[in-house]
Amino acid sequence: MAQGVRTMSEIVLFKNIQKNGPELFPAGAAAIPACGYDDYVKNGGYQGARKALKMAPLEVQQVVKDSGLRGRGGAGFPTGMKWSFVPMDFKGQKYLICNCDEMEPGTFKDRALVYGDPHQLIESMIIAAYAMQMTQGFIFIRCEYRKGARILEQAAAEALNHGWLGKNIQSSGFDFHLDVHLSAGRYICGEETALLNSLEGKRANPRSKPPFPQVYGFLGSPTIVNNVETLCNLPHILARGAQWHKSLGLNGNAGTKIMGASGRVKNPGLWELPLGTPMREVLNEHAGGPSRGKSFKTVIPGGLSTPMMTPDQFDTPLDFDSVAKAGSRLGTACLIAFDEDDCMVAATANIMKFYMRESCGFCTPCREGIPWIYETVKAIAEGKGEEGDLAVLDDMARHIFHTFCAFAPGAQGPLLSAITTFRHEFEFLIQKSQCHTAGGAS
Amino acid sequence: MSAKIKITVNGVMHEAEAGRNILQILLDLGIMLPHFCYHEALGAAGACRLCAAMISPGAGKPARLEMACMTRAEDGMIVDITNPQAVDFREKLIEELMLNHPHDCPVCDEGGECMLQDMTVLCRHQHRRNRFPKRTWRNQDLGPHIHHEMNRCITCYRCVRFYRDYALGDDLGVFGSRGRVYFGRMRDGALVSEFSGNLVDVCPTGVFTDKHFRAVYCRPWDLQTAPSICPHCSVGCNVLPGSRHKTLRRIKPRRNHTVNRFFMCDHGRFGGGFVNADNRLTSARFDGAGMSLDDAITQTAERLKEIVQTHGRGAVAAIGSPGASLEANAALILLMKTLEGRFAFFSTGAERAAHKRAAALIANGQVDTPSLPEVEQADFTLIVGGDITREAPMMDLAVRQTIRAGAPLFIISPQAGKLDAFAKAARHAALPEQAAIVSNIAQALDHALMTGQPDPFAGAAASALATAKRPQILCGATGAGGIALVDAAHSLVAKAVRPERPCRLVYWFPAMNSFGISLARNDESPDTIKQDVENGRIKALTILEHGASLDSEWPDDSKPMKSCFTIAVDAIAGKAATDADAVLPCASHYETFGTVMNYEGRAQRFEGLPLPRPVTWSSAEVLLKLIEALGAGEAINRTEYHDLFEIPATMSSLIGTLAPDSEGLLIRSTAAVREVVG
Amino acid sequence: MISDALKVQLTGHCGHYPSRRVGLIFVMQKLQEHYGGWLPEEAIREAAEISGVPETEVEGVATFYNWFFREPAGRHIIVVCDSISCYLCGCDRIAANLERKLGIKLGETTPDGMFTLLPVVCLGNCDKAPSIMVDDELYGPVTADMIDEIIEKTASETHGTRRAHDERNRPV
Ligand SMILES: Cc1cc2nc3c(=O)[nH]c(=O)nc-3n(C[C@H](O)[C@H](O)[C@H](O)COP(=O)(O)O)c2cc1C
Ligand code: SF4
Ligand code: SF4
Ligand code: FES
Ligand code: FES
Repeated sequence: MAQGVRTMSEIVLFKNIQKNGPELFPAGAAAIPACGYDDYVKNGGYQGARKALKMAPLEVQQVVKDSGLRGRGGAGFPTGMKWSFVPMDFKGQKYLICNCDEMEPGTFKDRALVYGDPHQLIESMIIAAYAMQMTQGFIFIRCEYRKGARILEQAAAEALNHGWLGKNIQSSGFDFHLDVHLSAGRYICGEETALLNSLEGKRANPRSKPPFPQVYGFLGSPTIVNNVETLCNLPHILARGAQWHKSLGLNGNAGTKIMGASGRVKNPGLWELPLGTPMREVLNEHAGGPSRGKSFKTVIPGGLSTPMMTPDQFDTPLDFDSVAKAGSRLGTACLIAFDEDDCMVAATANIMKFYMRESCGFCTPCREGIPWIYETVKAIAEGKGEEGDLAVLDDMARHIFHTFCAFAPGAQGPLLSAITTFRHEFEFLIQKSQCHTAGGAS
Repeated sequence: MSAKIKITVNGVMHEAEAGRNILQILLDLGIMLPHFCYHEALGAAGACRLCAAMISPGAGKPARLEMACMTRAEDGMIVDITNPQAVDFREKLIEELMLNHPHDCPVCDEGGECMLQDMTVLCRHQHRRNRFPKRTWRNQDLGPHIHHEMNRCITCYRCVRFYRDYALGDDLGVFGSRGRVYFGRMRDGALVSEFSGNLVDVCPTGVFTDKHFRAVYCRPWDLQTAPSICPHCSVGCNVLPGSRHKTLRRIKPRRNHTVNRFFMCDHGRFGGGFVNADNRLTSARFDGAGMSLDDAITQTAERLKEIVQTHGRGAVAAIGSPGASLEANAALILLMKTLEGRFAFFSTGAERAAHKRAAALIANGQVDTPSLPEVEQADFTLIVGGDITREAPMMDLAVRQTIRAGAPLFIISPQAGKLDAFAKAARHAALPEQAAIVSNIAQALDHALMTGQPDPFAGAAASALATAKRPQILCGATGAGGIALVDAAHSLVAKAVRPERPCRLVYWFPAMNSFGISLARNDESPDTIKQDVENGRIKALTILEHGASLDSEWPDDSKPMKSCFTIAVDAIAGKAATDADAVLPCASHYETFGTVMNYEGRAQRFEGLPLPRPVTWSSAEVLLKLIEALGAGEAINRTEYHDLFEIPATMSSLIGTLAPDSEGLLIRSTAAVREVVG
Repeated sequence: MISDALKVQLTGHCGHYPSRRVGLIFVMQKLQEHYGGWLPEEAIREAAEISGVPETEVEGVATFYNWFFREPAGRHIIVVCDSISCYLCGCDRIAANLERKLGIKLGETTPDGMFTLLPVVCLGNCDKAPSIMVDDELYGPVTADMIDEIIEKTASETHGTRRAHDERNRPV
């Protein structure tokens, strides 16, 4: 990454977060003091927004389109294009929502951005809101990030004091009100239509699409839901230009990505790296290689809901298209590493427990199929596997794809790859009733 | 007319209406694509995922496995429901739904009419592979009508989509999440919706079942059924009563796309108790002595002849019933014609006047009366003249559909009612005062005429009415509002109608066939007949189906009918029959056939259950026998309905040919209406 | 029962939005705080009244989200992440340690009403796995010997907890 370039992570000092070790608790990202308004401005904060407010809204949209920015919430949908679906001539209130529900296991990048640099997010939302002339914004933040919610509320109060929120922002004539909504839990709230229902005070079942939120979203009005990290790119794109942003990535990819690693790595943490950085570089150079001297067995590349990748694929550049070509998804680019001693059957049971517990319960394959998969995998992991269990897993793994929302296909990713790539482990356990690895589950 | 598109299904090209989903189109074509959560009235939810088919946007474009109910049909689409991938997906889906489902089909009370059973067989799921414990639930006590058995739930969300989203009830909900989703009440207790019984039908499995039917359970395929009409109000819902071993076991709604469509109210569904009741009349009686019906009819005929001979014309009278068929009332009128007697119908004089005025306006085509599905389409509703929720429950349900669509509702009612919660404004006033409020609205429509302090309720209703595109007024023509209210509603509509914008008007009536008998020619005010009975001027009175007449005030015990010989033709041993000198028992509503006219003036035919019972004749037949015994059998063949009722001759001849599963016959749409009725 | 002041505050909150229902989750969170960490039926009724959402639906919402409790919960809530990274780093051992220390199983509350122990999905602290959260405080990486310290520190806290604990609501 180019030296001296201010990007998302300049203010949030990631070396603090990534430092591992027996430090005193409370630890983790929450321990880092949030950057206040003055420091933020001293470091060039609010320049992007200032610039944006002087442009026409559609010009701002064009810059974002030109920058090649793609959504960081997992799907990688081009942000500028998503914005362009918002009917600008809509008469009523339009809404901008920041998705800070971050509950994808293995993912912890949004927490860093929110806890460390709340003003960056607020500035980002002002830019996005202005570009689409949305006068009300929400930050939907998961319940476990309640400290983060308070940090954001405090920052929003500062921003309001300095004329960056509320009526007539910086005398531009543009109003923008921002509310922080603390969620009441559950992973499915991260799915954007479930999020809308949740924000409306309903059960967080997803909605059918179409209509898409851009047209019919919060309370039936045009709404944009963007991930925290997606938004946090905006001030820099506005301040430095679309071309600059494009130039940040490798092999034709635009921008940087906050990448993470956890699990069996020596130095788990987060790094802001050019999109397209090879997975091997992240695993070995940044995360310090395997943690217990065993070689890596597999990596789930993008938060839990992406198919597993094997060491022969570690040269894959971490960008949306390359990872897709390798049969997985970039997702959140937070790598979860497993080593030779990890029992993939037991790990799969753990993975399926997550999906079983977090299913919203609306549609059949997810609600009924996943618990059955979990029970079956668990039985196998416990040495109680039976003839026919793998047939059940094969059938169900194929089956849970055609669901109402993308949650169950997310569960399919790791499951299908586990029973394909590590089929021998399942078979061994079913036949011998014991794990083929030395250690078994952790 | 909506545009047509072409879609190919399993290799065959079909024409279909645009804008619908694929599943809807398949079902209309008679192609059974398995499904659960989709319901014609409740729409698509995408929850069950059973309706999977291979769908391609067009020739040469790749087909994908999609849910048919979630796919809007577009011109050129190619649908394949037989594709092995789709077939396998549906089989696995059933397997998932059966993971936790009790395997008690042989003894389950839904058995034989269970959609889950049907779909399981259809999708050929046969072998259970799940070896893990099943999920179990605690059931709730949902009150006297509905039994709850949550373990059978397949989580299609139909129940809440009906109860909460469609019928706007708020005491049935969905709780929990993931694999533990529960449908029920917040706590045990009776369901309060007037439409709770429909849960029995919308639930594709046996979670909600009819408690009354459970108590007298038999296998549904052993039930004998007959297409009938609900006798409880003037909406005329089509129903399917089922009986076995001499007893009525249950009542279900019968589909009729111009009346009640899929549903019915609890009052009708659970109100069939009179059929099996202990107070059924089973044997004939004359002057205190029991005898065969034939003998009683002969003796009654003799006595009637004597009375006519002794006291002359006008000494004989009859009171007909809005709870009886057109046929029965016609026979009663014919009996009086034979004897040169007088007749009226149960209710009061003022009420009769109101009914007759309202029915005439509809029959004449002077008002545009919507069917229930049309009521649902309105974008403004004013309800006046009674508690519609109690007096015409299914019309209340139709109004709820307008509320769902965001249409404003204004209510003028005698006291607070259940729809008030959804009204823009509700005004409570005694029935006789309501005509004035309606007139205020009419005045407010016309600012020039407005005098004095405008009534804010009337003002709000008028301005909403003025801007509506499809407004309607629903007016109770049932009672104390009288003719003034009927006229006030009509005047308001007349004022609101514009060439480009119709304003519809419903009059609802107190009983099943109030409309039909309101068209009778030459009936008197019931008041004068009752008076003349009490003061002894009338010497013989024939009372038709008093038990179903809703008139519980009369006969009044304090005023004994001293010198009057009374004949009760009835199914139920009510007040009239107990005191009668001649008791001629007849079959009850569900045991017989006939024709009734609902609030729209829609003649509908119903058939009787083949119940083996002591009395096999309908009241109409009993009366015809009586006419024959009087030696006037001849007149029966000479008389047409339009001789007795103000209905077009064309309709008169069609009544006998009406099929019970037809849409019925609307009086205003029969030819030559205006010639016949003034 | 809630105070008039709280009621006014919550009613006002709902009034901010084009649909009162938007305020429902917030109202329920505040009521949960008020009732000492859970939502008794009274609170469901109050939330319904304040937000204009039928009681049955409030209950539907209360039973959907994992941070609403319809049974009395402990004064302190300990959640143990059992998602993949913490699983790899030994969260099962941490959970077992906590169970032993508190004498309860996951999903239970200590008899003195002090602690409720629950599993939770990824806390977004995976680089500090295994992670747990006690009330608002996040801990990680947690080792077996830290557990005693964490529990004692939390138990000794008389302030710093957001739960206005009410004696009545303790589980019996
Ligand atoms: C089950 C599920 C969970 C999700 N969780 C999150 C989340 O926690 N945060 C997020 O930003 N996006 C999440 N998403 C993606 C969102 O639906 C949505 O695509 C995203 O917020 C769009 O933002 P972007 O365009 O900026 O990427 C999730 C999607 C699914 C299907
Ligand atoms: S896939 Fe799962 S989470 Fe998504 S709607 Fe279906 S049940 Fe809910
Ligand atoms: S109770 Fe019946 S209608 Fe309701 S979700 Fe379950 S199966 Fe469907
Ligand atoms: S009928 Fe289509 S998903 Fe249920
Ligand atoms: S997996 Fe435990 S904090 Fe992420």
